Amino acid sequence: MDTRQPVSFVKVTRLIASLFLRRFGNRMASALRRRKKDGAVRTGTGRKAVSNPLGLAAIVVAFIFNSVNISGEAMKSLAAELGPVRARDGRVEIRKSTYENLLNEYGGSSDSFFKNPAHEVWFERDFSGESEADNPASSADYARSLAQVLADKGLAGFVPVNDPRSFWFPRLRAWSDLAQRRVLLHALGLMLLILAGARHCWTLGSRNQDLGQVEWSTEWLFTLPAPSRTLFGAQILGHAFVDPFSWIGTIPLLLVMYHSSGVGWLGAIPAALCNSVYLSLVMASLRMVSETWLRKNLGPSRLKNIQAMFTLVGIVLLFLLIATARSQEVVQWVIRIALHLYPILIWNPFSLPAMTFVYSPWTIAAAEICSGLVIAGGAIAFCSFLVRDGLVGAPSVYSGKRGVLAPRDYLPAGIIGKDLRLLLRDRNFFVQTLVAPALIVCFQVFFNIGMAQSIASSYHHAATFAFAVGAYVMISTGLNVLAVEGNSLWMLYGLPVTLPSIMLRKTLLWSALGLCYAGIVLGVCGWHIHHFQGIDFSYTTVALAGVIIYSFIASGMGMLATDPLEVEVKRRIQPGMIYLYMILASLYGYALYAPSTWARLGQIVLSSLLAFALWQKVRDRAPFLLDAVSMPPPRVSLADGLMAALGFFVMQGVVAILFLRIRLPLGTGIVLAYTIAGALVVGFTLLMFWRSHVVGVLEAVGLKGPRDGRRPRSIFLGIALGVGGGAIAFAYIVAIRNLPALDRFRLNGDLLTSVKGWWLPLLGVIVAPLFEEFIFRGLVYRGMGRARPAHWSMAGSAAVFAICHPPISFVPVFVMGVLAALGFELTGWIVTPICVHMTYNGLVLLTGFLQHGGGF
Amino acid sequence: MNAFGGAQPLVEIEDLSKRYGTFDAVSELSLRVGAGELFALLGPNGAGKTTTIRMLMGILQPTTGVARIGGLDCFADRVEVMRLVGYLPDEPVFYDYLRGGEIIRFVGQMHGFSKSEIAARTDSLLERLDLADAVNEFAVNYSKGMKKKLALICAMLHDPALLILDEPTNGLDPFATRTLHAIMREKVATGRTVFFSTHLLDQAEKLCSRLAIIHRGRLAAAGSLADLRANLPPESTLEEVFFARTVEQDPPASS
Repeated sequence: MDTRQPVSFVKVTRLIASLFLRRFGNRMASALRRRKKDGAVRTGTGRKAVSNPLGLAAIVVAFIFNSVNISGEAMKSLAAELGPVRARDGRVEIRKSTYENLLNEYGGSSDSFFKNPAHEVWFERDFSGESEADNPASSADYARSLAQVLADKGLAGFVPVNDPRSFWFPRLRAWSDLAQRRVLLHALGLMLLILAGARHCWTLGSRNQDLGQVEWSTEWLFTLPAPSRTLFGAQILGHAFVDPFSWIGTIPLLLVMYHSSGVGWLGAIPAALCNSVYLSLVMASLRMVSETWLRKNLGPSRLKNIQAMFTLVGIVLLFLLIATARSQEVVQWVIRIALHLYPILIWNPFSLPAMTFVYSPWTIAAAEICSGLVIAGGAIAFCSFLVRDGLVGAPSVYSGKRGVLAPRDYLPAGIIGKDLRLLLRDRNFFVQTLVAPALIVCFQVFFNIGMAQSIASSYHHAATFAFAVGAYVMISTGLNVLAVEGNSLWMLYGLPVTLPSIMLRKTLLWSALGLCYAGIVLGVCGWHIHHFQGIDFSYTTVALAGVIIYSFIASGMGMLATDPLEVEVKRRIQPGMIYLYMILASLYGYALYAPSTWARLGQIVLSSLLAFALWQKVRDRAPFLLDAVSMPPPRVSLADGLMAALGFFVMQGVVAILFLRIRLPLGTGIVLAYTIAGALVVGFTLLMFWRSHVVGVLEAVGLKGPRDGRRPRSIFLGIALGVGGGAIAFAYIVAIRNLPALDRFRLNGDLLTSVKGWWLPLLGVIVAPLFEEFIFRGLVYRGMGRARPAHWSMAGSAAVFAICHPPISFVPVFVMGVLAALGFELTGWIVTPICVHMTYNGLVLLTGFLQHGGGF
Repeated sequence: MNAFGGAQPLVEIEDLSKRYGTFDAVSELSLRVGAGELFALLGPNGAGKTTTIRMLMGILQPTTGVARIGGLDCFADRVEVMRLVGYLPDEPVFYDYLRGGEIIRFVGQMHGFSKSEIAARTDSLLERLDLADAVNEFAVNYSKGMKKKLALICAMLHDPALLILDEPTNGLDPFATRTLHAIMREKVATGRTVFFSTHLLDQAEKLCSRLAIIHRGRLAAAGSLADLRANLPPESTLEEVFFARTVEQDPPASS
C-alpha cells in the first residue's frame, strides 16, 4: 500500500525552492493587501483581503528603476574620477560636438593663447558638459583636467570620438584605456565586495525570521526524511534562486556594469544573469553556514543582539554603495583603496564578475563554476559537520541555577523604566528605533552637501534641522507607542491605570529622547558656529518646543492609527499615518521661518491645540480599542478641524511669501494666498474623510440645510450679522486711525489699495469665505461644540480663526468669527456663516476703497 | 520494565543521558516500548521529557547511551527513522507567510506522495479536526490549538509506524482533545504505536497501556498502571502513584 517514491536530492531541492518562492510570493501579496472595511472583526481567522498586483508591480519597477539609476550614477562618477581617457597616441578623447565647439571658438588661436594661465578658467566652461557624472565635484574636476590639457597642448591634444550618451546605461570610454581599465576593474571588484557584505548583513539582520526565535524552522525540516546534507544543499539552492535582493539590486548593477563596457545587450544580459546566479549561490552558502553556526553556538537573546549589529553594518555598507554615486570623497576613497588592494583581495569569489573584462569570459565562467561548486559543497559539508552532534547546542527551556542574585540597576520604575530596560537590553529594538534613524539622517546630510553647509553656517537652519531630527526620531518611537507593545498588551490592560495615561507616560520618555537628539544637533552646530556666539534663544525655544509638541502629536496619531487586533504585527500601523505625520511636522517648519513672532506663537498654539485634540480623540476611542465592532464610526472631530486650520495657517503664509517673491502686490498676494490655501486644505480634508469612511460629513459640517422655507431667513440672518460685523470693523478702523498708539497697525491702507482688478475682490469676497467657513465653522466649531457648551466653542473657534489672520485684524476678525458661529448655531446651515463672512469682507473692502479712493 | 517474550521492542532506550555543560537534562534513562502500545511518558515541567523526545528524533545526540527505533539508531540513521516516525512538537513553528495547505502539501511531497494522494489522505483528517476552513490562512496566524492540529496532520500524513507526540493536548479544546484521543486509540488498534509525553495525569490514566514516570531527568517508575500500584492501595489514582514515586526520587533538600 506504500505508494511513495523515495525522494531524491533533486526533488527535495525543487520542493524547498518552490516553498521559498511561494513564501516570497505570499509575503509580497500580503504587503499590498487592501484591508476590506467591513464591520465584523474577528481575531485569528478569516479576514479576507484583496491583493493588489498593480501596486506590487509598481513597487518592483520603482526599486529596479532606482537600482539602475544609482548603478549608472556610480559608474559615471567612477569614470569622471579616473580622469580624461587617452587614445593610443596619447591624445585625449572628447566628444565630437565638444571638439567642434572648440574649433569654432579657438580654431585660429596661437599657442601663446593657450598657454596663458589666465585662460584656463575659461576653458573649464567649455568642458563643463563633458563628464556625465551627477555629483558636481567630480564633474568639475574632470572639466578642470581637460582644461589643463587644452592649456598645455591646444587643440592638438584632443581627438574627437563618437560618444552616444545614454542616461540609464552609460557607455564608459574608460574601458578602452588600458591604464584606466585596470583601476576601474579593481574599483568595481571592491564595490561588488561591499555589495556582498551588505547583502549578507541584510539577510542575517532584523528581517531574518529564524535567528531571533526560540525555535528554528530548520529544526522542523529535520523531522522530514531527508539526510542533513540534502536539506542543507536544498536550502542553499532555494535561497540562491529565491533572492529578491539579487533581482532588484545585483542584476541591475551587473547589467549596467557589463553594458558600459560596450558588449551590447546580447552580451550584457546573459552575463548579468549568469553572474548574479553565481553570486546568489555564494551568498546563500554563506548564509546557511552563518545561520547554522550561530544557532548552534548562541542562545536566542545573544542572537537578537547579533541581528542588531548586522542590521547596523548592513545599513552602513548599503549607504557606502549609494554614496559612490553621490559623493566625490567616497568615489575617491573607493579608487584609492582599490589601487592599493592586494590582488588576492580582488580575486575573491564576490569580485569575480568584475574580472570578466580582463580575462576571457569563458575563463571566468569556468572559474565561477568551479568556485561555486567548491563553496556550495564546502558549505554543505561544514554545516553537516556542525550538526554532527545534534542540531542545537543549548537547551531551549530554562535550566537556570538557584540563588543567582538579580543584577542591580538604577533605572526608574513604572512604564518608563520598562521601556528603558527594553531599549537597553534589546539591541534590535535599540538599533531600529534610535540608531537607524540617526544613521539615515547622517547619511542624508552627507549626500546633500548644500544642506550640510547651510546647517553648519546658520544657527537658524541648524535649529530647523534639530527640530527635524527630533520629529523624525518620533516616527519610529512615538508613532509606535501602542504597536510596540505587541502581544503583551494584555498585561497593561490588567493594571489599574487607563491605557491612554500609560501611553502618555511613554510619550514623555520618547519626548525626552527626541529632545536629546535635537539638543545634540543644536550643541554641535552652536559650537561650530563661532563657538556658541551665534545662538538665538527664540529659535532654540521654538525648535525644542516643537519637538515636545510633536512627540505628543506622534503618539496621539500612533494610538489612533494602530489596530492592535491586526494579526500580522507589521501591518498594525497604517502607513498613511506616517506620511500624514511627516506632512504635519513639515508644516511646523513654518514656525521657524515665519517672518513675525505672532506667526510663530500662532503656530505653537495651534500645534499644541492639535496635540490636545488628538489625545481627546484617543481618550474617546480607548475603551473600544480591542472591541472594534462596538466602536462608533469615525466622525468629524476637533482634531480634524485643527489639522485643517493648521494646514490653512501655514499654507496661506507660505503661498503669500511665494507671491511676494514674484513681486505681486501685497494685497493681491494675500487674497490669492487665502483662496489657494483654503481650496487646497478643503480639498485635502474632504479626500481624507472620504478615504477614512467618516460618516455624516455633510450634516456635521452643515452642508445639509434647513427646509426650503427657512432658507431665505437663514441667508438674511447671515447678511444681518455680517453687517453688524462690518460696522464693528469700521469702528475699529476708525479707532486705529485716530489713536496714535495703534499707529503701527496702519498697514491696512496699503493692503486695500493694492487690490486691483475686479476679479480679485470677487475672490476675496466670494470664494475665500467658502473655504474658510468650511474649515473654521464647519470643522473647528462643530468639533469643539460636541463636548463643550456653545459659547465656549464660539469663542474658541473664533480665536483659532483670529490666530490665522494678521494681527492687525485680530479684534474685528474675532468678532466676526463669533457672529458667524452664532449664525451657524441658530440655523445649522453653513450658508449662514458664509453670508456673514462675505458681507463682512465686502463691507471692509468697500470701506477701504471709500477711505482711500481706490479705483478699479 | 519487563521482557517481551521474544518480540523486538519498537523503541529501545538504553542508559540514555544528555548533559549540557554541568546540567544533566536526562540521566541514565532506560525504556522499552513494544509495537502496538499506547505509551505515556509522564513527568513535571522540566523533567526531561522533551529532551528525551528530541533525542528520539535525532535532533540531539545523546551524551551517553543509545536510543533505537525499529532497531535503527535514532541519531546515526536519522533519515530512515524519520520514515517510520511522525512527530508532533510541543510548540510547532512554521515558516511565516505560508498557508496551512501549502505546508501540508510540502510535507507530503517530501515524503514522496503526489498531490492527489496527499489530498486523499488529509481531506478527511482536516474535516475531522475542524481545520478545513483555515487551510488558506497563514499558519503563523493560527491559534495555538490550530497549529497543533496542523502539525498533527503533517505527522500522520505518511501513516507512520510510530507516532511521537510531545504534550499533544496542550492547547486543545475538549472537542479536539476527544478527537485526538480517538485518533490515538484508532492508531493503536491498527497495530501502530503511539508514544506521548504529558503532565496531565487524568488523561494519561484513561489512555495508556503502559507508562513511565520521569523526574529530574531520571526514571522514577515504568510499567503498566497495575505494576506501578505495587506498594500502594489498589484503588490509588495515577495522581497518588505519581506523587508517591516522585517523592522517592527527590533528593534530600540540600542546605
